[in-house]
Amino acid sequence: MKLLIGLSVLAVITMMMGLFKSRKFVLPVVVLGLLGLLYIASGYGCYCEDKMFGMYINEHQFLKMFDINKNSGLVGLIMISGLLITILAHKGFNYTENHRADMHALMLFSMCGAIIAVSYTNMLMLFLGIEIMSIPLYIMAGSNKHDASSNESGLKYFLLGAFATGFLLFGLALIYGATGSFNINQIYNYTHNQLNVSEGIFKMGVVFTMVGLLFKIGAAPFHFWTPDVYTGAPNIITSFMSTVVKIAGFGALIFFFNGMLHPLGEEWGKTFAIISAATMILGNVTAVYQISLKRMLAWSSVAHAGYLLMTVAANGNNVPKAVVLYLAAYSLGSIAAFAVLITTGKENFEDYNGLGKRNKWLAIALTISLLSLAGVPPLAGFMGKYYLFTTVYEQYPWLVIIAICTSAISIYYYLKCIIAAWFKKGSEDAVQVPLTTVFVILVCILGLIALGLMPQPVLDLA
Amino acid sequence: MAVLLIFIPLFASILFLFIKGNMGKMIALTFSVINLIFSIYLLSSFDTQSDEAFQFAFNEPWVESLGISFCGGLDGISLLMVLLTNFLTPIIILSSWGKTPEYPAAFYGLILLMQAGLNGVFMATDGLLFYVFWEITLIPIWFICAYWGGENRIPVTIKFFIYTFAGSLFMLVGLIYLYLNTPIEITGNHNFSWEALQMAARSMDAAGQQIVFWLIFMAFAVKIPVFPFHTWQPETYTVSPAPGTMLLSGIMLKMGIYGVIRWLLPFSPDLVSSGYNLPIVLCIIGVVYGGWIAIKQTDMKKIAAYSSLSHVGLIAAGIFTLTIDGLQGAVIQMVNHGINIVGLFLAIELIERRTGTRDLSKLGGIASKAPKLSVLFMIIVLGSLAVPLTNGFVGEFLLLKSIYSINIYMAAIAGLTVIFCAVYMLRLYNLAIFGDVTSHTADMKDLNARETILMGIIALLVIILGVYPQPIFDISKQAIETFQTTLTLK
Repeated sequence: MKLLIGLSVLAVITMMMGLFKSRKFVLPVVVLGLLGLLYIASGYGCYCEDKMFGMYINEHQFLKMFDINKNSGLVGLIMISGLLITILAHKGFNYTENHRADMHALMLFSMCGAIIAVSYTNMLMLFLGIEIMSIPLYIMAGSNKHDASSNESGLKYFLLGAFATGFLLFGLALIYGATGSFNINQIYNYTHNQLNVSEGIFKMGVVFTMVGLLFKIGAAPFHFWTPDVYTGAPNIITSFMSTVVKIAGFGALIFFFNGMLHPLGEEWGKTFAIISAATMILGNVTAVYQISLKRMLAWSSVAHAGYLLMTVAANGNNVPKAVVLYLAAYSLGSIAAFAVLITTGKENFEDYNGLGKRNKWLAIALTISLLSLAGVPPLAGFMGKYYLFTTVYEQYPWLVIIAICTSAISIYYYLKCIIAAWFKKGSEDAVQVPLTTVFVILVCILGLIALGLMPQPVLDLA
Repeated sequence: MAVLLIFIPLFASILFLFIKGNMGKMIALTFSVINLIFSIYLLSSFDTQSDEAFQFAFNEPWVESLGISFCGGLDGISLLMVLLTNFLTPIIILSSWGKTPEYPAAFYGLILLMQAGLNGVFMATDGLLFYVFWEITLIPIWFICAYWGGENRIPVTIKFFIYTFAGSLFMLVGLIYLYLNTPIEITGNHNFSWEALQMAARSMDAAGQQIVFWLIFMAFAVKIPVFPFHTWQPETYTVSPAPGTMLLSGIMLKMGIYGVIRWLLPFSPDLVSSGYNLPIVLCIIGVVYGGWIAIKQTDMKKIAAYSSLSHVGLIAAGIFTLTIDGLQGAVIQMVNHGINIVGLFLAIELIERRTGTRDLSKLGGIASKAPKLSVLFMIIVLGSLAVPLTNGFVGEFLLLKSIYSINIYMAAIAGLTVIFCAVYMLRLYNLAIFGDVTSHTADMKDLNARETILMGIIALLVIILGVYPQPIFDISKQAIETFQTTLTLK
């Protein structure tokens, strides 16, 4: 709770700084604030919250609606990804020099929403979290006002997002109608007792909620917005969308289905398995045909959503662990790749020709991050994938076979980019990397290697 | 302690990130020789009579909640493989000195990384650790082939990468399947160690073993390569730079065969011991097919590539017979094939460096221009022909004998390899070395001192191991006997 309040206050302060045109101090303040909050979250802050504002938590209805402790792994992941992207924004926000502070504030608000969305205990909070996360995103996606594709991206995301929100809300309302409660424990008991589960209204509600959440994570067949929105949005915002938002979306999804509706796994598991297979195939196959690194990363993020959905379908006890490990590997890999993208400012594969000669370290970073995304050992992406496969194999062996076939496809488009960077001849101008970006890339790459060699700490978190 | 074999080259390859210019080749040679000396030291303290499954064993917990540990060790077979790796790496590094590649630091760094991975593959006794090293070897060899390779290298090497990567992923699933069948330990987890996986395989029914067999077989079949998974191989060998080809054919391919012995047969014991012949048939198709195509080629590197396909098919077939002879022959032939094929590619590289071509129609008359090269090349060619008193003979004889004991017709077909090999090898040697001097070979120089030593060492080994192969039998005997008891060989 302190984390959320702190984050909101930090966002408001950042916004005020924009008002006073103190542009230079925005980034240090946000970074220090986030570091402080991370300290609070990692230390005692989260665990001694019986009393707040003089009220006991269990006396107050609102404070009971979410519980940050229950999935500290995902919250930590959101905070760390957010922090890295904030540092990256030092260069990433260059396109909107006058609105730096506003953008930082929006990003912080969006993170608030993400944290709420992964720690709800009440479906009302699920809805509010998703909305608090999404509304700043609509603005951020369209924040490059002079760029038509950014405008398109914002509008598209908003229209389709609003539509999906409608589904989500309708679904939640129907579930409420069937069970008489928004509280996930009560709904769990309802489904556990299997009393009136066959009721059409409840099933309708689950399906509608599923549609709403699948839209947010960009799974097939609700993925069509992803490539356009991701490509159109400014690079830094895309990196935010493909990491923090995805983490939140999956957090919400697994606590809804693998937590609350766990007893009904038999009924919805197959659906998720099919959706997961479709998403993996579609994402990977389409990514092969891309000629732009950014669009390729967008499609690969669809593909990764497919891999993650496998665990949701499997519905085992290890789902949160597998998801957190995979998301950590995926987020670090994506952020590193986007950091390279932001540094060069170029989107097409051709622009990466000869990157190895222009800046060796940048090319090494790109190579490691892409190999990790492809799941090559000993990097984090491999550990994530391995754990995913072990979690899923017992229930859906065929899904694992599809996953490895699509992984084999995916190596092709990741290699294409690595080949451009090392083996093709291109311009020879050296690339300057700002210190902040160096820091972010270094953290990501070391993280990828460390997680690949020692995944234990992350597994303990979840 | 044996773990240093992995960490010395690994450390050296990281060092190469910070080295610039021509210093690289000396440093690379130094580290690879240190590794060679160290592995010879291990050989000298290896106890051939020991009852232990693995000597010099190391075992550290790695990811406890996933049942993975960093454990490994050496038995006779893996010791031979480690020796081969660490012997060939300095040879390969030295062979590249005459034509220093562009960006030498990166090049030698990748070779050492490869060496670390290979040593890891041969020492690992944990399923996931084996897999990790198995994949680690792929990255450096791919970079070597794709960066320093010849014409048309990028599509060819992408094909190579995707092929092997896909094959390995199937193996990963196979290992996971076994892993999930291992008994749960006190810690509440399954176990990934070799012994545990073997136990799990034993408790499985025939259908389960069949699944495991084919999933894991995919990875090794691509790497060896077994027909019909070989299509990446000739092209990749041809476009790769010489050191890359030597690494691929000399050592990396042995990973596949070693994998079959250590990680495939013990995991499907009932299946393979009940006379499962399909893999043998596939291998023998490869033997004939590779030999037949090699006869028609005019590119020397292609001939060597297809000959490798043919020879290795025979080794794999010998293993799948599950006889002592087959296994013994395979082990000895793995070592010898590694030496011979590296010698062959080395000779081809030296000729190409001097004449600028590998095309047999443009070569000829080398005997009069470069007698030293011709003589040493001859010895190596005889070695791969399996002429008695050269190293190829012992292994090939045992392998054919083992196939004969299974099925006489298969042995007859596999025996064609000897004839085919004589045809394409002698044709290669004849067209390149004898005949009239052509414009390409007109001003050819003979070997310099370094090259003579390199070729000389290989030629010497061809003869020594041909006359006196006993040390290899001694080292591997215990391991093969253990294998016999676990698999109840015929």
